[in-house]
Amino acid sequence: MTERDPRRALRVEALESLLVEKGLVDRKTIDRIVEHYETNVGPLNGAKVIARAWVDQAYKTRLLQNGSKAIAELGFGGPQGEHLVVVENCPGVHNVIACTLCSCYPWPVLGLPPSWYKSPEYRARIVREPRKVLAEMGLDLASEVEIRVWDSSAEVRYMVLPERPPGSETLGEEELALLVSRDAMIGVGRARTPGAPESDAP
Amino acid sequence: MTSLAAPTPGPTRSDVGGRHEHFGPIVRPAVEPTFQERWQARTFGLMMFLSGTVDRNGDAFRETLEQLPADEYFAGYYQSWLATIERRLEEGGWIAEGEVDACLAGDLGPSGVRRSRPSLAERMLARSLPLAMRPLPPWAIHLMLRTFQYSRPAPRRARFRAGDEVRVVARRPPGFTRLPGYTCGCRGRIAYVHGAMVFPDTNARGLGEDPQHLYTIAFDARELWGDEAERHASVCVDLFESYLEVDSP
Repeated sequence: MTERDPRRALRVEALESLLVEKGLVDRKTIDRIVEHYETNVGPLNGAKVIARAWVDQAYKTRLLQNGSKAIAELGFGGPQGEHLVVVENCPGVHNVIACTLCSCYPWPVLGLPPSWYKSPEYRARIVREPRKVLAEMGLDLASEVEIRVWDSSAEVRYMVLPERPPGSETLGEEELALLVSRDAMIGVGRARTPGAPESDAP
Repeated sequence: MTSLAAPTPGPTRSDVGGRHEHFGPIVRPAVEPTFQERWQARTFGLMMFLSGTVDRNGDAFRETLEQLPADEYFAGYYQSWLATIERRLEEGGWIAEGEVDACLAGDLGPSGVRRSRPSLAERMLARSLPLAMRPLPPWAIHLMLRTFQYSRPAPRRARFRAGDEVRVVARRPPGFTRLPGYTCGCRGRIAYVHGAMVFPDTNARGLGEDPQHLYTIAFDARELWGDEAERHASVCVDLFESYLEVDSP
């Protein structure tokens, strides 16, 4: 069966009906959960965190010291965000996140992971040939830049603090947040330079 | 067990890091909605609901997921979740084996064992779930993080400190484990000390939380992959204390 197979839809519906009948789940709550993750939880949350860190040095210090706590200051937190660690890119170091054993991902700040992040191909390759994978994904790094791959195999979830792009010096927090894509916070991209076209939907 | 034994199907299925048989192009759709299909959203919602009520052990959920036959495990994210949810509910006695199939076949009559209804505590948790499904003030997030975090009081002092050189045990422990195989036998340096956390290897099997210190270990790529390693690369991996040994040269 493929992801688009109609039998999948029928099976989930049958299971849900069965559980509703047994009093184990409640449809309205499931609606609410889905809606929450479709509307409130996504990479725009992380982008706000990054923009704040770019303009507020004291906040950035707190963010790098205790990710979950500093992120909660902006009202973000929840499942898969209990132990968030933020890792900072700088001119000589580039960070990228992965989970080789499953698909651990910092939900409260980035939303649910994209399909490629969960694929066996990304999980297998990123730890072994990160420079090649990043180049394939459109991110060419100078050979002297050190790449650090973060394999979140246990309870910690990582997010990348990308470098603030050139030409963004005069921008305010809200405008800065628009430059921060999901891919930049995973570490397979950079923050967008002001005026450049968007490479992926945030 | 001998070291030459072929990988056992269940426990090593998820251990894909660095393994050439999984190498291939990484396909990235230009735009991807949160859920591509409605059934995926319902599966996600069901899993979240149950993980907040009658199936709260996330480690046990992962263990069941990793025991799925390979074709189901690699069939797609939500597909494997759906299969896992069904298995967990069967194991918990909430649904009978074949009950979903019977429903699909149009057999609407009650079938199989039906365990007692959820406990009062589980029903209360279910009722309070929607309260958490909205943007929350920081104090509520702190409360939630404190309630659901995996940190536990340390039963003993941490064996290692940041900067220590350590070596990962030579083999993955049998059964469910969070030790990626590609780190086995390799030397690394402690980058972060996270404190004691619930140990998934025992918690998944109902053997207790057995809290252990968790560390992030930084490995030079050459240590992991030898001559074929890319230059100027390192991999940082979260590992529990029992996966580590003092590095004796």
